[in-house]
Amino acid sequence: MKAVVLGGGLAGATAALRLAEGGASVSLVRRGPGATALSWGSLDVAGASPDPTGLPWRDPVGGEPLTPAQRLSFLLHSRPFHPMVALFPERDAASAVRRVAEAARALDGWLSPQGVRVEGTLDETRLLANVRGAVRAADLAFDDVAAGDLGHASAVLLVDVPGLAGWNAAAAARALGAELQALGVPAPTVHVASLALPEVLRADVARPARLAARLDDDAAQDDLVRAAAPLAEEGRTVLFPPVLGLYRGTRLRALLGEALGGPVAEVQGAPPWSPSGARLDRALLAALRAAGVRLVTGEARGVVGEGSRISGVDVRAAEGDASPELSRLPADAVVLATGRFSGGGLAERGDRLVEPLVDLPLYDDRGRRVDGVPARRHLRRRYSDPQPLFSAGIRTDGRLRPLDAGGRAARANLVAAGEVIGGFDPALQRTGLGFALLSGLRAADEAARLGRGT
Amino acid sequence: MTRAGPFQVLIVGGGINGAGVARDLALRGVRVALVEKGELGAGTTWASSGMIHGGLRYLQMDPKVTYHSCVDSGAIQRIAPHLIFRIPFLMPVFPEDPIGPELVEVGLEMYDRYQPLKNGKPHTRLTREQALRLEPSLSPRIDCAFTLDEWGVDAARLVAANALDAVERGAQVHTHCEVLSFLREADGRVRGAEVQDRITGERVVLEADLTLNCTGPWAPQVAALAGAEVRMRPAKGIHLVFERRVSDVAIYARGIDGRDMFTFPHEQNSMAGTTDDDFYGDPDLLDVTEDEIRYVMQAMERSIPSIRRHRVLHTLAGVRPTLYGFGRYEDELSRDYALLDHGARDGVPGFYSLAGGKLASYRLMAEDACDQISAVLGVDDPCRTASTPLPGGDEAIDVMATAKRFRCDWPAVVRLAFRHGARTPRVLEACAQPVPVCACEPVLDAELHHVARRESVRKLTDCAARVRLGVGACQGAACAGVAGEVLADALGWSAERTTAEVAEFAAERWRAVAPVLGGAQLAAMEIHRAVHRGARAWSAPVPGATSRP
Repeated sequence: MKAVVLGGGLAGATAALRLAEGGASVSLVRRGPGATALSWGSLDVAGASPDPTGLPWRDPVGGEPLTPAQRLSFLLHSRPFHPMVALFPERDAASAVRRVAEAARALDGWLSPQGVRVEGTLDETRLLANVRGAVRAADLAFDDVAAGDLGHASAVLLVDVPGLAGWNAAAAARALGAELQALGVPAPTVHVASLALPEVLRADVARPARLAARLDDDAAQDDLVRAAAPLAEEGRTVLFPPVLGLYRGTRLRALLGEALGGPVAEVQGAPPWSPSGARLDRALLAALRAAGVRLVTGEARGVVGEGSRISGVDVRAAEGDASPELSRLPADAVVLATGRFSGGGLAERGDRLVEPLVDLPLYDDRGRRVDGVPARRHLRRRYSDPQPLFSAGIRTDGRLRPLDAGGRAARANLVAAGEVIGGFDPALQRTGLGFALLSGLRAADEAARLGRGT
Repeated sequence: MTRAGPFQVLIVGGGINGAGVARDLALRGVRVALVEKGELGAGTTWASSGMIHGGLRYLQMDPKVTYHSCVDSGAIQRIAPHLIFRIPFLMPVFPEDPIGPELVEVGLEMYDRYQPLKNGKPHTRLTREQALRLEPSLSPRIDCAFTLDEWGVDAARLVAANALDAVERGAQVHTHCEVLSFLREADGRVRGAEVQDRITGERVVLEADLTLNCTGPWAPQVAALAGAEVRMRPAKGIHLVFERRVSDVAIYARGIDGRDMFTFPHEQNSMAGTTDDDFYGDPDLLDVTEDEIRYVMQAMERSIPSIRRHRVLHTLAGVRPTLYGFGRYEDELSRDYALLDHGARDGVPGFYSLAGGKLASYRLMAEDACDQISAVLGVDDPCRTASTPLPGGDEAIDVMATAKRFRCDWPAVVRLAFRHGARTPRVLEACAQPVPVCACEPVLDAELHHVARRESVRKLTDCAARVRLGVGACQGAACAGVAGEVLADALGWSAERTTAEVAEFAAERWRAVAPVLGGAQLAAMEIHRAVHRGARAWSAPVPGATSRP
């Protein structure tokens, strides 16, 4: 079975990995880093959001904070049109939680050989801070940020690195205190202490990305650990700015943990500097290579086939300086995981909002058709208003097959995964990477079936 | 309630006119206070084309306006050379144009006679081939093209520089302070105003011998508070702002109705506009409409066929405070100005309004108004604004040497020197090691510290006009949070205040972006929303009180 996956974010990558495991011959086409590469370390499944359309942090009746599992149950029972619900048609929260745990284990299995771990369960509430001190409920999280849980820490130290661009530990500490108070959780005591960077690292202090890359070096890591040692205090959670190595942070965090006597984590980054996303993206690519998936850097330009069945995908490769050539990838099944605007799954062509590859109809979260007119028609002037444009995407049936305007499966062997599926606003309804993961795995299973013609 | 004063003159309105008058009077030794309900120059001034051009357009119907503009342009170049940049214009002539090349050239020859007043170069005539070689994006349908010479300015900074100079010469400038009512004597005389600080809520009474309404399109509303009338024919104008430059020269374009517009470079962007339409609404509630956008793009496309491939970032919208005139088309209305004495007109002594005018001749208008006001006050110091440099305008600095001295990237210092001139080193001293907070245009944390501590910046939203924070491709997705922390340090904000300021900044950028959001910018704003709306579990304070609906 030949499968072609379009899109290399978390949804496309997990679909490709699952298909490859099942024995399919898989090609994955991606333009480059997309929304996954800009993510910040949480793997939300049913994340809490202050927006009225999002999931609540506290039980609306009882008032106690909800666990992610409880929020997932809330989602399944109160948001019938959210595409997550289609993944759990039985709407049974306990089995949904089990499925999420299985999915997380599968992802961890693929990523851990590449140096990235998935941590947490849906039964615990994890609160993580970002570089601005904003606090967010993270259902599952990657290991670079996971240990920074504020919900269970009694004392937290924010490490100030004087001169580091984009990091103001004192301001983050103030914000973090205010946020925890607003959330109404017992706040840990928050301290700020300065770290004098070793001389060799000081030159890169204005460029966090470069500093992080420098800290991939063992000797630089050892220097940093020595410099940080005076900050040691038993049992205190220590939060660093997101510069603890670019891709080799596991060793550094372990050494720092030993030296400082408590959990060590980075605070979550904020785009454009969110190294968690870059690490995840790189680990996914490495896992895909390890699984024998053929990676094509380029852009899918169209699908070909007879009747409703797709037989191939035309791809314009963007490798090297050679004139980009159109090549055709044969396909028994195709997974559409192109994301939304940053991924290229939605776009404007000549003042028309479209799904550019198959020209599928697009719908917002109220079920209104939104494609074919300028994108700006679906915007409201107030930032805090719901923005229909950003809930827009394609619709699928229960087997994740994209629907045409008549509500039928658009193609017999096409399935979709991730945020190209519309009906929710990812910024407000935080089903984020969790939906990408779950729909990616499910899409792979469906693609395998459809590819075999069953 | 606190009282301040007495002042000789209370100026209401901190656009270019109010700031220009404040500086002029302060230089004459007059005790002045200025109140502005928002940020300096954030209304009509920032929405303008930012040009101190001579007004070729006005030559046909109002040569006096052209003459004044050119003379004043020359003066502004002398007092603020750092804020000025030369903009060569290309004027294509199409076969179907009603006015052919010969007639166009007659007009330009006439305009050439004014050019020396503003250090402009005379026009040249280019063949079709020459023009296309100079600017390949021009339409190949042109017959020929002309060049002419104009000047651009950072208009918001020009206002800030005038206000800053006024303050340094003893004036008081209060931003984010709104007039609640005017103080009246039994005979109706206005003796100042009660104002409210929109940030702290504090109320202050400012007493003054004479009150001057310089509120541009808001002048009728403000005058009504004093029981006086200002008649105006306000006209709305919008600009589209492009990511990166469409061209390094300005290019004329013609609207479907025959109006002249142009696209022109400003900092790392290009702007295109402007429209000119009667406006009857509330100048606080400006929305850019679909037909305005299409009208501008259609005009630009005729001169630059590839214009739709450029990314439109955001819009600027403002209202021209044009003097009242009946019957004529908006575009033909005079850009003249008037100082209205409401004592004589409406029986409200002590209250004056300065109405009309244009950015390019703000200084001359202020001089004329201040001559009249000085006569009323019995002040006989002459105007000195044409010869006294604005802050930073006294000498040029060596950008490369300054960058080296402060260990900064030189492009950031170039931009600083554009805004602060000779005072650039003083700005850089605000931080031990200045670092950029914004990547779109390199805004340094040192400049944010400086404008918060030594200039009048009080809100994060002030920084869009003042230092061009967040007006590039990311629209504050990357920089608003960091900049909020810098201002919090400089101004002692709490965490809650900082969060609210950042949220308000994001919301303001959205208002400017939403009307034109499309194409590649959709991805940028998707990320913007992830950062500003997706980052916290609890509801950040929503900027409801101060934001517009």
